[in-house]
Amino acid sequence: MPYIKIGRSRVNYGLMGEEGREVIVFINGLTQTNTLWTTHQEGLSRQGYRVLTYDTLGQGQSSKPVLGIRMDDHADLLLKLLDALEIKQCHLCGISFGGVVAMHVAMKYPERVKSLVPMSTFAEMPGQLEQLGRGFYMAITQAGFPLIQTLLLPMNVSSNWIEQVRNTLPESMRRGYLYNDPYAIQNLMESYVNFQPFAQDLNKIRCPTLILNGEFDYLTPRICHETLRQNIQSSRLMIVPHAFHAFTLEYPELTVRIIEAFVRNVLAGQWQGDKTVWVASEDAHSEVLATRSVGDHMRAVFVRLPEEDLSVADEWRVSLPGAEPVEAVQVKPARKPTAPKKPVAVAVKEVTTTKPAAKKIEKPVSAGKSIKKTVAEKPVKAPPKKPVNKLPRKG
Amino acid sequence: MPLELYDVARDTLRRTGLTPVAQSKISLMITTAKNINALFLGAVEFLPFVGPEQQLLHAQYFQEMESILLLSKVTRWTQDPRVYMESMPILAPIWKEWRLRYSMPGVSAIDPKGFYQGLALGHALLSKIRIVPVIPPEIDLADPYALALRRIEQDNGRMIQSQITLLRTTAPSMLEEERDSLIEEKQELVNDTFNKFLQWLAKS
Repeated sequence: MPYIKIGRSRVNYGLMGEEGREVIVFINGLTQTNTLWTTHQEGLSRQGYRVLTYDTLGQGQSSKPVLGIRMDDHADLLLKLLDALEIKQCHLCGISFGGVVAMHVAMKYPERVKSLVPMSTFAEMPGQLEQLGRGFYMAITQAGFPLIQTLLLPMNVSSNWIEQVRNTLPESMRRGYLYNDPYAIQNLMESYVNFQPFAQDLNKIRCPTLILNGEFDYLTPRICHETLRQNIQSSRLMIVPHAFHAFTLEYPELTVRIIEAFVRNVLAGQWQGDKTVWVASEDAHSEVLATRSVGDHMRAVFVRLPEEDLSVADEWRVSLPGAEPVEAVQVKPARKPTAPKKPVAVAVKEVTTTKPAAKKIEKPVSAGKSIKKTVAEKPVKAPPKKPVNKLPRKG
Repeated sequence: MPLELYDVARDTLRRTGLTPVAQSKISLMITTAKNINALFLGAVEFLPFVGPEQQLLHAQYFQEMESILLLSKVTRWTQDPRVYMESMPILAPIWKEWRLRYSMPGVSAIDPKGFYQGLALGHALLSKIRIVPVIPPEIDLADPYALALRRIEQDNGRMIQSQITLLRTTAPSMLEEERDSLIEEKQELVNDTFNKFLQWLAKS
């Protein structure tokens, strides 16, 4: 990888694709290096883009200042790197810590950012994230970098992925340990501990913005991305199904597809930053890349929508302690399923009920091959005449 | 930092195991680093300008002595004198650095800038000398020597907190650029030494 001297700092970068093309820039997360973008870089450059990756200060093969790094330093460094490489404008993507840097760049240097893709990131620190940050900080200062690696892995990727790479995992961890100097990661973490929320400044971001969030990202949960969606003017939120925090690593093909489609859309002047919420396809090759989310996208469970009338058989009624037993109530027949009014996507693979007569209904327009919704057709058994769960009376 | 050097050294150890020659080479590198830091810490821990952080340095001094003792005890030292001879030119640059700054005419010569340089050298020694990635995964986790190396490296991560704090808070009269420059200089020195050591270890 080539490197460039910016002031006193050495910056390791990789630039792929011919001059004159649209430039897409990727910014790493906390313990990453730019080598983790290789698949994305190759994929996007094959599709006609010029792709820049680099190690931020404190990471990988770039300089690792001992005296600390300010958040502004990261934004300024990227600007100087773009200057040095004679890149006037770019489409900027950043994950996690890199997402924070990307948003800072978009706020501070809006003229340099054509579009923005913040992924698995945040603009303020909810209590859980703050406490996680403190925990990671304690781990690195008191137990060392391997503990951080071990703690982050299950937050970053799924069990499936871990299973797939189980044999090569120790070597990947070793390389991660070598690439990263613990004191430098500590420096980056300290910028989290002293993090200044900037949600109130997000309205300064005017460029088209596609916010990406893994369905099961519990390191930077949905609420973090909801803040971005609500405050960034020309934004949309897209949820990546089944994905955890580091979905770019686990689903590189889908990530490339989404980013390419977004950039193409922006360049064609067709972007609609209407703050809507979308769910990406589970299939990177699906013609329907994403569908509008239905229901409450902030929830992790399905909550009945007002128009979804359920029968008594769908309810588990239990009398309260000391109260009269719940009597069977009038049975309302379940409604016959009706086709959804508009294409819907659900954030889990399938929803099944326990009733044997359940019938799968394929939606007219599906987000992907496995996105299905199952709706009860008709209850098979009559609801119970007596209380479903009779508890003994007190006294 | 060339990762290939680590890989080549590990491949050698994978082939030979942790022989007395390999152990002696590693222990010479680590005990030299620990001795140099301990000599600095021992020289400055009672200086009045150190301030309340004196406690940190005092604790680190004894921790370093403990690491030296631990490693010296668990190492199967080779009887081949060539190993000790070969180590000299490799380790000389960091010994020289210590001698230049702190050995003569003694503690009285250590001014705040000298103190800062000693901290920077300690930081570089604790952060840049990382042996654990060289140990092959096939080595028994309970092997006393490998265990000692892991423990020492983990302790380094804790001890370096004193250097990190003091490098940020002491010598306020020095410009940040000057401080950066001193730190960088020490890191390069230790990096070069350690890279040469890895090449030497690969020849075990």
